[in-house]
Amino acid sequence: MIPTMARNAAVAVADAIRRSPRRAALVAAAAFGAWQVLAPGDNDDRRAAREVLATVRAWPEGQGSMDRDASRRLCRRVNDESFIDGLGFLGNVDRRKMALPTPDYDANTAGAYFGGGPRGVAPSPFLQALMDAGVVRRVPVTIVTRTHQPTAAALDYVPLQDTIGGPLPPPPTRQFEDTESRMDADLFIAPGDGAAWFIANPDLRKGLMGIAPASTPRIVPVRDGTGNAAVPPGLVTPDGICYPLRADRVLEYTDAKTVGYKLREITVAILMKPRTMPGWVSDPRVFGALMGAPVLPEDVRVWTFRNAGDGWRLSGLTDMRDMASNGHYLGD
Amino acid sequence: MTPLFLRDLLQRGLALAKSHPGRTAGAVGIALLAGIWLHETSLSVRLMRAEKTHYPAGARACLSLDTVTGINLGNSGSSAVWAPRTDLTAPTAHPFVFYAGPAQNVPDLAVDLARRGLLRRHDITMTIDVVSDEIGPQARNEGGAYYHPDTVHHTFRQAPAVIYTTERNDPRFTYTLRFRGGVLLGSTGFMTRVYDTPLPETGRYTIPLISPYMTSIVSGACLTVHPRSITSIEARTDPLTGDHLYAANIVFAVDSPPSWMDTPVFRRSAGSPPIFGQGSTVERTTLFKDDHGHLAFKTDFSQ
Repeated sequence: MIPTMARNAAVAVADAIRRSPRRAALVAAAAFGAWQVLAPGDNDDRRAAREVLATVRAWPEGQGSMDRDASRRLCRRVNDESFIDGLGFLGNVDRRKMALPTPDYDANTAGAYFGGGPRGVAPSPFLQALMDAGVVRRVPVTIVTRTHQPTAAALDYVPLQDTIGGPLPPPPTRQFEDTESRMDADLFIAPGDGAAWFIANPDLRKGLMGIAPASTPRIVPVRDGTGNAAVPPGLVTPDGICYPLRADRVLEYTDAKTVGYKLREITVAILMKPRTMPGWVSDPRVFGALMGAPVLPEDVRVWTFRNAGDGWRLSGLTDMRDMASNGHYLGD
Repeated sequence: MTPLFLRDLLQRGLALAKSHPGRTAGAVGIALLAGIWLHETSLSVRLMRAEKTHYPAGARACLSLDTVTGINLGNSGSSAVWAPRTDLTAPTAHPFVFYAGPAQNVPDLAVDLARRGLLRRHDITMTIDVVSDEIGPQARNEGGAYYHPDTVHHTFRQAPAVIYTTERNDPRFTYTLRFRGGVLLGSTGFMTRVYDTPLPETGRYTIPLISPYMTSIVSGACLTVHPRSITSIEARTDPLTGDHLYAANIVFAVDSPPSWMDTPVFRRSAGSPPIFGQGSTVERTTLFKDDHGHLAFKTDFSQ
């Protein structure tokens, strides 16, 4: 049915053109002109703003920081009090601490580590909020401390050169003894998906202008098959939270002005939204622990982009002057 | 001698024109064209053209309104103040504000301009978090140390406020832009809450607030001015780039003030400068860049 109709229409159009070619040309020209005039205006500036949005959408979201680089990831430090460091100094060669492997904590455990303490240790408000949200779990473990130290006989043995009293006393048979003490402890771990926001990001420790970096607790090693201690490779201590954002839409843009030979510049305000917005980010105990701003549901960024002929790139400086009186606001 | 000579020349010219009318008309035409060409290519005319190209809608002379305009919804002391989320106050908004402040205290000029249709009035209700700290009797903690337990109470008070906005990019005003920083959320004026979570009545907490990403605040009212003449042209060389520049003094004729500026309340709050008078002029030094014979507007020292 429809193919027949289309064929009939095509035949009619061809007929009209054959009968009066001049009128057909006129009608076509008029239609083209009307389309030019009435079609929604897609001017140069608007197209540039759209290209900039596409550029931002192509930025990486797994590296860098949106505050500094061309990146869609945003990172915030967490303050020191968020971690629980209640297990003492680990890593002394003479006093080796390791956890006995359990199904919840073994060499294959992956996630974020927030510290630990003796059984029943109270979490920080930040951790309590994450535990209430089901992100962080309290993992009970038994920590074995193996102490390698001289025996009491070895400490008493003083081999002086006292030949009057007889020969040298025999040295003790056991110079050293290994003792093992056990301690019940709780670790705070965010396993699996919940750990996606908490990753080790050494960038957050750089350039802090004299501020001491967060003192993150050391991860408790696990006893592996050979009896040695090994830190689970999948476990990291976070320096803060990092989350990806997506470029939602252009809110406002300026004219794309020429600033040099074949060099154009435009300033664009783009609405960035976190890819996911779990409920716990709006918990006061969580945003109270973040340094800087809380996780914003609507984060508007204003950037100046330059195009030298090979696409729009972030300019080092943001020139907002034109926004005050010449910005094209699209808004919601 | 000279008048006689000139008269003689004129008579001879007239005689020539009488005998060859066609050729004379041609010569006069060519002379006229040459004159027009000389005039059009003269430096002052080209500079004037560059000036008019830069300000197609006319340049402006602006009066400061800084003493009248602004946002006066600030946080006082320890209390947090925020507005409900509207099109004006949302983090995705860019409002053009003439005045915002408590509803009891509105400048006369804002009321007058709103009556004349230049401004729009928006009534909002601000919420103020009044924090009171109560210190209880002395007590001991588990360790035996003395301390004073304190309880923090939050009372949420409502206060009416008013915002006067201009049309977006209204050319009758100049604006100062306030924008929000990246890491540290500075305020651009209106604060709204970041999260809608309920606020408990007791406990010490901070309420995260956020403002529109940009706010344009009116800083001046403008009159249109039209370039009339160039009084002096000075050729310069840019010491940094070596560009050829012209510094020209341009005299502008000032339009008579529109009715909304020609009011007692405007004169009272923004002042009444002499350029409001009939036929007044302003003079500005303007820099033009000579780009291989093409003159382009570079900057002027105004506003």
